[in-house]
Order: sequence, then C-alpha cells, then structure tokens
Amino acid sequence: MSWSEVDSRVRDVMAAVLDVPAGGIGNGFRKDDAPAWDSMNHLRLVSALEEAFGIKFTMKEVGEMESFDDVRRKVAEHLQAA
Amino acid sequence: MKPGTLLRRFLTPGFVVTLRGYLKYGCLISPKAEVEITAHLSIGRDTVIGSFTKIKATDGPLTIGRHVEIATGCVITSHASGVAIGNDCLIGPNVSILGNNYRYDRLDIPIRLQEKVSPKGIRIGDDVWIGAGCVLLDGADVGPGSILTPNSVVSSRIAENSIVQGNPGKVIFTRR
Repeated sequence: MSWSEVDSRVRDVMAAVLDVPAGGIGNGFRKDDAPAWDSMNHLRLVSALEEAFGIKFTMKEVGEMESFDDVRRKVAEHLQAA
Repeated sequence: MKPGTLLRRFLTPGFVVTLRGYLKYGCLISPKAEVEITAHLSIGRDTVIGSFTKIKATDGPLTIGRHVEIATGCVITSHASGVAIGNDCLIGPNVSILGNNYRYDRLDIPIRLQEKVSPKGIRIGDDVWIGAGCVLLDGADVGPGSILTPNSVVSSRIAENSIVQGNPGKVIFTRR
C-alpha cells in the first residue's frame, strides 16, 4: 500500500467516525476542528483504524493522537514496523 | 408480602440500617438509602452505598464485594439466579441492576401475573466502572476491568477490560 493510499484510507476512516467530509481532513486538521471528536469517538476512531490497517496501538499512542498528522504518523510507524 | 417484612420496611429508621450494615458487614450505608438486610444479602467491607439507593435481596442471592462505591439513586434487585458484584467497582448515579425478569409467552394472562424468572443472573467482575444511568439486565456478565459508559444497556457477556457504549451495549474499545 502506497503512502498516499494510507493517507486516503486514514482520511476515510476519520471522516466516517467523526462525521466530517473527507475533503475537509488534511494537514493541520485537529481535534478542535471536529465537534464529534470527543473521548468516546476517539476510542471508536482508534478501534476503526486498528481494524482498517490490522495494527494495534499502545495506550500511550492512543493518548497522543490529537490531529490528522498524529494519526497518520502513528499508522505509518506501525505499518513500517510490520 | 409477609407482615414482618412490611413492618420492618416501614418502621425501621434509616440510621438503624446504617448501624446494622456497619456492624454486620463493615460497610457504610447512607441513612437515606433503602437496603433490605436479609439472609440473601452479602456486602464486603468498606463498601459505600449512597442516598436514595434501593437494594432488594428478598428473592435471591445478592453479593456486593469489598470497596465498592454505589452512588445515589441506584436500584439493585436480585432473583433466583442471583446478582454478584465484584470488588473495587464504581457504580454511578441512577444505575439499575435488575436481576429479575418476567415470562411473557402467554397472551391470555397479564405479564405481571406470569412467572418471574431470572435464568442467567447478573455477574459483574472486579474493578468495573458503571457510568451514570446504565441498565444491567438478567444475563449481564461484565468482565473485570470493564467500563460501561453512561446510559449503556447490557444483558450479555462483556469481555474483560472492555469499554462499552449504547443500547444494546457494544464494545467500542478494549483497555490495554
């Protein structure tokens, strides 16, 4: 899977969970930009990403995801390590 | 209802129940709670039961572990298959743990007159946090370390360390 495909898939997952248009998610997109990105949907997002990419985040990583850039970086780190 | 039960329920002042709870179980029952101390009831040491909570253990075993905190306005009732709450649990305000159920397979008899059943009972493991307004019904079996988010409804097996949300409650995350 190319990195642009990873980006696109992360964007699609975030759009579906956070109920925002995928086109509105890009560099600089943060928690504050999505009203639905609360503590519950944060956990839903993590579960959805884990299922979509077949990876498992640590609790530390879960707590560090504050933006699209964070999410994309964490996913990439796991895919590279695999 | 037996006359003795009726008299005990209406004439026993709250502070007497508090005192009995402290002496018998080493727990703290608010004088404003309504706890029926019967042979079916068992409460662990240092458990706290908040005001306006009703605990009814007249129809079956009801076991509450040690260091459990039960907030205000909860209802906990047991039936034949029992209700068991583990140690170190947190139970938020207005939680209902209802161990009894009714049959409803006959249309010619009002449901309230059909048999009361509790085929499975309710089990809550150690270190479970139940958010405000949750409802646990017959068959709920919550694994240790789980969290039920507010207003979740659970009547089935929940694996340990799960975070549950919704009606019916679904696992949205697993603690790790």
